[in-house]
Amino acid sequence: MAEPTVRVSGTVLASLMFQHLNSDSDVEGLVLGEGRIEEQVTISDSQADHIHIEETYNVQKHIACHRLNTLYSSTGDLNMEAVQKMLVDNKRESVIGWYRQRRNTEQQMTLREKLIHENLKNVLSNPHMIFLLLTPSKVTPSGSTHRMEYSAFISRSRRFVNVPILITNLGLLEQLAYWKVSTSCSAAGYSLTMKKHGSRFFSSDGLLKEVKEVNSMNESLQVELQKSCRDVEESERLVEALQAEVSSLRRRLKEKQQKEATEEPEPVRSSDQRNVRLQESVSSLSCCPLFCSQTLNLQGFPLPDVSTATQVNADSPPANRNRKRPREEPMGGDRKRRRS
Amino acid sequence: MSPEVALHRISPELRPLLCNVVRNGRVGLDSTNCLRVTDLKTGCTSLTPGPCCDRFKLHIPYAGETLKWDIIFNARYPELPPDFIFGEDAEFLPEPSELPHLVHWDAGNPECLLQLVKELIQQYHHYQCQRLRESSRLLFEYDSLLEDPNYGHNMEIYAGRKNSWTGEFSARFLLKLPVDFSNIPVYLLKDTALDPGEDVALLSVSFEDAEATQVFPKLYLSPSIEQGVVEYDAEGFTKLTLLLMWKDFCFLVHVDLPLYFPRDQPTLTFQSVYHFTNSGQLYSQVQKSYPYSPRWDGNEMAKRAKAYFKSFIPQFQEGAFANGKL
Repeated sequence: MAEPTVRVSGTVLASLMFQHLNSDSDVEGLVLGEGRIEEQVTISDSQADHIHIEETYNVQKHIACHRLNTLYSSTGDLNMEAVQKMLVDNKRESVIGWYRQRRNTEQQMTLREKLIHENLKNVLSNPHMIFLLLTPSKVTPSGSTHRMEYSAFISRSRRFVNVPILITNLGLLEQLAYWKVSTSCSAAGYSLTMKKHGSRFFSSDGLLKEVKEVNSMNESLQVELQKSCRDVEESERLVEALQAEVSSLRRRLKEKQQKEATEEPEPVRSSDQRNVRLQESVSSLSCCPLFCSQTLNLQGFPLPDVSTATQVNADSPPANRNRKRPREEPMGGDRKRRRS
Repeated sequence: MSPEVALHRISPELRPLLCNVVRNGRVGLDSTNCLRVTDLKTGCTSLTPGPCCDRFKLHIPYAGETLKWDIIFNARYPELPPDFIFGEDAEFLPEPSELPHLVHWDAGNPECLLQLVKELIQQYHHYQCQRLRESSRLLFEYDSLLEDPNYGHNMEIYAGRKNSWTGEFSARFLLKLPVDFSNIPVYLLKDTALDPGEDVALLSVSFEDAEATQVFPKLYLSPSIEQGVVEYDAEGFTKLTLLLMWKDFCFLVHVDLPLYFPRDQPTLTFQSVYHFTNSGQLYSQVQKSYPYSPRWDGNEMAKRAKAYFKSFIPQFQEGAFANGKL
């Protein structure tokens, strides 16, 4: 269930008291401010989540009626024209309630106040209207001590509930919880100053610029961190693979050594034992005229070599022995006459 | 606070309204006492010279209780209608359309405030009757009385609050008994200027629980009636002694109700206040046979008894003079 509280700054309360002090009768007027409903969820391991709803009404300003009974009739019916006239410089949405100050009376709503409150709720279409009641009284007969009692009332199903008023600059040391930011000030001078200098500190969405920069930096850091994490991961995988390979090689070596230890030693081969395959490869390469030394003419073209041609003919298959190799005419240039 | 003190301290512009209330303010069934004003205070600053009181508590007798309502004016704006705080009955919210003297408040009419208070009491009565719905038994009792023309418009209901410890709901009915007091002797007062008010007999019935298992009746008589009634049994209501006068002849009548009344007839004992017997006792005559029927209701019995008194007294007076000694 919602627990409403009304917060009034010391300045506003002092202003209300000052107004009544300078009046020789009861006074009344409208209260401007902002109402807010917050839902707090308390998460605990030992019990189910607890949802706590807080209704907070911040009183920021009051508009006094110049004369009693101008806003309503004897039966509490509202005079909308008078209400509109009072709100000429203020938004209707900022009206969160009304107030009355009466000396030497009980801290209870009167018949007419209840009727006015219900009508005001309907006319301004705000079911969360508050009514501030201040009742100063003389404590001692000599008048040396006076008392000022104040409280707020809110209507719930046509029943009026007393709501505590907290003075925002007195005794609100909420050290055990996060500080709840109060609603923005509606004073004209404050708004002008913020408009003039705000762009240096605040971005277009109302956040402090440093906050945005810090957030960007944080995002960049996160990206770099992720990159580094990927590199580390790859490196670790590589290390893991190499370790696996080393382990495998060691295992094979060990097996081989074990095998060699159990078998007879083989005759030692001479160091000049020939590698037959290598010899054959070299022989085939040496027969290729491209790898043999050649005689070149003045133009740089190779001249046919008789010994190489004879060897080639000898090694060629028999079918090809009787066929004469076509003479290759050098392209251009004079042919060197060879003596046979 | 006496009315004079209250009128002295109230703001001059509001004085006529308050004067009407304290002088002529008899409301409800118990109109023997006027409305009382206390806690007179001001809404002006303490620097304002008096008299400037413009708010006070009004004590209103209702159904055996005393309602304490705050009435708030503004001395600086005396033409404005008053406002009200209904004490502990914070949930009482009358419909403004049922308060014509509030809708058409006329500060120049001295009776306006008193009339408005009467209208509020009437609305308060409706509010209390609505609260009886919390108990079907008490609602039945109320509906039964409402149907009786003798009591329908002559009762006040107070539905008490539930006891926060026991959860019990209680109520009180105050009924005006339809009794003819025309033959009661003139009320003799030391202060002849004081008006004793209307002759009235009120019966207060308290129900201590919602099921009406504990019922406590109480009889209230107006001062003039109490003066006529010499004594009566306030617990069992079985004995009553009246001081009556017929043609300047005063006499006492003792009415004794037997155990099985109304089946058995009451005994009437007439006693002279002037004459003694030889044994030094007041001369008296006992009558047990006179016109009577157990089927008569209380009013019929009283009416027949009164008629019998008228017919018997001359004979009794002669006997007293003849047989008694002054």
